[in-house]
Amino acid sequence: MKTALLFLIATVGIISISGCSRDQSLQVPEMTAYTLDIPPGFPQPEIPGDNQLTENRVKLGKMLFFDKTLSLDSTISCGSCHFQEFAFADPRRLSLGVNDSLSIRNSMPLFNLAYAQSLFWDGGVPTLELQVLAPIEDHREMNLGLTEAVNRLQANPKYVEWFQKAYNREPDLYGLVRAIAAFERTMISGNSRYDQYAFQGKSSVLNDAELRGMGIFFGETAECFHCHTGFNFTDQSFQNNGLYSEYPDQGRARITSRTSDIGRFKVPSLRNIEKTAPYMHDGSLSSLEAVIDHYMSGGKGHPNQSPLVRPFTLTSQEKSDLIAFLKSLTDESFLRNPKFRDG
Amino acid sequence: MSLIVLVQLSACTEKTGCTDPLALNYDPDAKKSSGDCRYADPTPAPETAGTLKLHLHQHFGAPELDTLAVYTLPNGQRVKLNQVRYYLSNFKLKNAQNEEVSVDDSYLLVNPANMDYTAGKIPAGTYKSITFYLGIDSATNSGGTMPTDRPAGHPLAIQNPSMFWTWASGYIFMRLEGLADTIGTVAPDHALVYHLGTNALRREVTISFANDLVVTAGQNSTIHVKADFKPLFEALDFKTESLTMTMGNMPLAVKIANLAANIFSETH
Repeated sequence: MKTALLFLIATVGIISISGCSRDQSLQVPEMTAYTLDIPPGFPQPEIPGDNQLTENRVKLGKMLFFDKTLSLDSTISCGSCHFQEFAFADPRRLSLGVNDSLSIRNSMPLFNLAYAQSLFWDGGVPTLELQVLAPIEDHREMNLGLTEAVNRLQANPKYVEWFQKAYNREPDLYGLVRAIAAFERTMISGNSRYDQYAFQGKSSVLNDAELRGMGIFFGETAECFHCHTGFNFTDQSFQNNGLYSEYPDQGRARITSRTSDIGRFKVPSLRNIEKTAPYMHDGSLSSLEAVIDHYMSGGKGHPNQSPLVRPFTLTSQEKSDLIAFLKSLTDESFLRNPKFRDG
Repeated sequence: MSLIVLVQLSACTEKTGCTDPLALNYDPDAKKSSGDCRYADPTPAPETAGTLKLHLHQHFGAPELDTLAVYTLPNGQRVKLNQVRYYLSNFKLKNAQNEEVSVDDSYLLVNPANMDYTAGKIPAGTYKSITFYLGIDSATNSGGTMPTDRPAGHPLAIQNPSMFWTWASGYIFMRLEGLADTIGTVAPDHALVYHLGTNALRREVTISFANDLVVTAGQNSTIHVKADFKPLFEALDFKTESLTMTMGNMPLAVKIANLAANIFSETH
C-alpha cells in the first residue's frame, strides 16, 4: 500500500513536470528578450512598455521590412528605398514608389531611431510605430490600403505563425506597426572611427586632417555643432537652413500650418553622412562639398532662416579637413551588419 | 526519487487565484483556481438610463443625398459627391434646468449608407437640446490609443476609405470627395477633395429640439437629424476651391469647417 502511494505521487509528479516543461517549451522562445547593444557614449533608449524587444518581434519586423507584398503590386518593400549600404538612405534624389511614382522628399536614413522624438523631415508623426503606416499607405510609395495589408498578412501562414510568436495574436495592424518599429529600434549605429576615438579610447584612429576637421566642426566659425549636437549629431529640432528663398515644400508648416515653420525641416543626424547623399529634404545637393558651399554662402535669406546660418569662409584645406572629419562618422560595421540584411 | 520529483514540482508551481474573468477578484496571472471567486450582487440595479440614438438623413437641399446624382448650383457649376464621411462625438444633452449630461466615449463615423447610429446611454429625463462635436476631442485626436490598436469595426480604427492621416498622425474629421464641372456644360471631371482635420477645425454643433426629448429608462430615444450639404457646396467656387487636406490650404479648410458646422438641423 505504501509503495503504491509513493508510486502514485511519483507518477503524478512526472505528469505535472512534463505538463510544465511542455508549457515552457511553447512560451520561452516567445519571451526571449532582445538585448540592444548600446555603444559607449550612447544613452539607454526608452522602449515603449507595450513593445518591449524580443527576438521574435525583431525577427518578424525584419521579415515585414523586406516584404514586397506590403506594396500594391508587390514590387516594393521598405528595403526598396532604404538600402543598408547607404545607411538605409536612398542614393536617388527622390525614391520610386509603385508605378514609378516619385516620393515627395528624399528618403531619410534609418539608424538610431530608438532615440527619435519625431519621424519624417517634417516631424509629422510622433512614434516609430505610427510612422510605419505612412509609407505603406502613401500613393506615391507602397500605395497599399492598410486593411488590404492586414488581409494579405492573414492569408500568409508564415505571418499567422510569426505574429503569434511575436505578439500572441493574429496578423493585424497592432502587431504590424510594432514589429517593424521593434526591428528599426535595433538598428543602432555607433561604431564609427569617431566613436572609437571619442568613446573607445583609440586616440590614434583619427588622422591629422580628421582632427583638424573636428576642430572646425566644433568651432564657432562653421557653427555646425549647434544643431548637429550630442551623441547622434542632431538636436532633433526643425530649422530653416536658408536652402531657398521660397519653399514649394512647406516643411514643418505642412504639419503645424504656422507661417514661422515654413521651410523648417528636421535637423538630420550626421552619422554615416558620407553614405547618405544626396542631401537636404529634397536631395538637391549631391555632395558634401556642395553642402558646405551652401552653408558658407550664408543661405538664401528666407524670413525663417536660422540666425546660425550666415556667411563664413573656409580655405580649401579647411574644407577638405571638415569633410575628412564628416567621413570619420561612417560606421562600416553598421553598413555590413548581417542582422539588418535581407534574408 | 519522490523527493526529487517534489522539489521540481515546487519550482514550477502555478499561481493560485480566481481564474474567472467575470469575477470581481479575477486574477489574470492565476493559472489554477483557488475556488474563492467573488461575484457582484446577482440582482442587477434597476435600469435608470435610456439609449440615445441618432437617425441621420444626409441631404442635398430637399432630396436625400445621392452619390450618383449631379447637382447644379446657382452659379452654374455642377457637382457630384462620391464620398461623404464624418465623425460626430462628445454628445451632451441639456434639460430644462440647463443641467448637462454627457455620453462618454462615443464616436460615430457617419456614412450616408447608414442612417441609424447609437450614441450611448443617458439618464432618463426630459431634454431640450443636444450638443456634439463635428470631429474628435483633442486628447483622442492627438494621442492616446493608436488607431492600429482599436478593435476592428471601432469607428476610430483604421478605415477604408481612410479617416486617419498616417503622415500627420491625426484623424480626418470630415472627408468630402467629388467631381465638379466648373463651366456647367460637360461631365463633372474636376476633382474635389476636402479633408478636414486638426484640433483647430473641430466644431461644436447645438440643436435645440422643437419638442422635448423624453428619455425613458430601458428604452431607446431617437433624435432625427438632417445634414444638408447644399448650402456648404453653394458657398464654394470649384474653380479656385477644389482641394484642401487642411494643412496645405488652411483658409479653405476653415471655411468648409465653418460651413459644415451649420449643416445640421432637427427633422422628423
